Amino acid sequence: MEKIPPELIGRAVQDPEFRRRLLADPKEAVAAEGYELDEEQIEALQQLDPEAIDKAIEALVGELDSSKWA
Amino acid sequence: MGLTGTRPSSSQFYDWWTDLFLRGFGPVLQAGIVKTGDPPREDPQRSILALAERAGLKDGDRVLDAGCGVAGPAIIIASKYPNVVIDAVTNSVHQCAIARSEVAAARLAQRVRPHLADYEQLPLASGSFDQVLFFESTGYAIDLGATYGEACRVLKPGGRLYVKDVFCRSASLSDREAREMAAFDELWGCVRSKTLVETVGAIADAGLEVVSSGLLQNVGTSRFAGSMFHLDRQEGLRPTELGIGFLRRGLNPPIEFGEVRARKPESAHSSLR
Repeated sequence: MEKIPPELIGRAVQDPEFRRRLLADPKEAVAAEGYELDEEQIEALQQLDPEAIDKAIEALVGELDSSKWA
Repeated sequence: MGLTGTRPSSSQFYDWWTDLFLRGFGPVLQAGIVKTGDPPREDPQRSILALAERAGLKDGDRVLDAGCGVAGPAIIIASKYPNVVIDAVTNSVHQCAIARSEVAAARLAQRVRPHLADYEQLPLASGSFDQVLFFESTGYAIDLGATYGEACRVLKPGGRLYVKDVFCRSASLSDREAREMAAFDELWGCVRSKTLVETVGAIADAGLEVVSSGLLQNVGTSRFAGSMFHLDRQEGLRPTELGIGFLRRGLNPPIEFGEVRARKPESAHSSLR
């Protein structure tokens, strides 16, 4: 099962720079941040379309500012 | 029961949403998780233990968890501290039923006692607690004076109060901020999110000595936010059931996480109930 940990998803939603790095090179990004994902989870992230993810975030939560999630 | 029509009370709100919150957040129903470990991570269990430590909780304490959810934090604390006894209060019938079931499953029924009650009118004896905890629950207080008055009443002289909550950033908000704050409170079923300043004032007015207060800097909300989304290779990013219920596009409420520590003066007397 490729379920991505909620904390990682949340960071990707909240932090555009982290999201960019995560979707560009998941293996490097999770290793740099100390997350432990298995190969299947890494592959799932590699197959995501960064532009589609950006659009989904824009549609669901819009422009985030630093106060969005406190 | 539905949530259409007039705004639900906090008890109705949690009767309705708790099953979904449990699926999304697990048994710790808090948005802000204290980051612990290296690298820092949002682990709810370690977060609760870190908060207990910040509160000054000691093994052997008699503890009141005011606004206990499904007793997730109480179970975590009781599992760590083998001699604490915790009375855990929720005004939600459904949460209380789940809490009793979870406590029994954890074999902690002798030391964790969920109560269906209002923390503004506690069915608990005066001067009987060493520690009172409010974890993200004072936004549901109708009367802050009654809330902390009751906390003061049930504390022993020298007993400790600890509040960790989502606070409104200021009493002086722009029109837009006020609208966003109201929308946030309505979304999460709050009566009104309080400010840290008014909380400190209400605690002092209740007769407690405020030891410290301030913002919590090491609190993360990524786990909370991430629970609102599915992310997978087939469908990309889409909202979970929780996200469908609680994501609001463009909502940026002026909120912050903070804490207050206070104690009941040794010389204080409690009226008997």
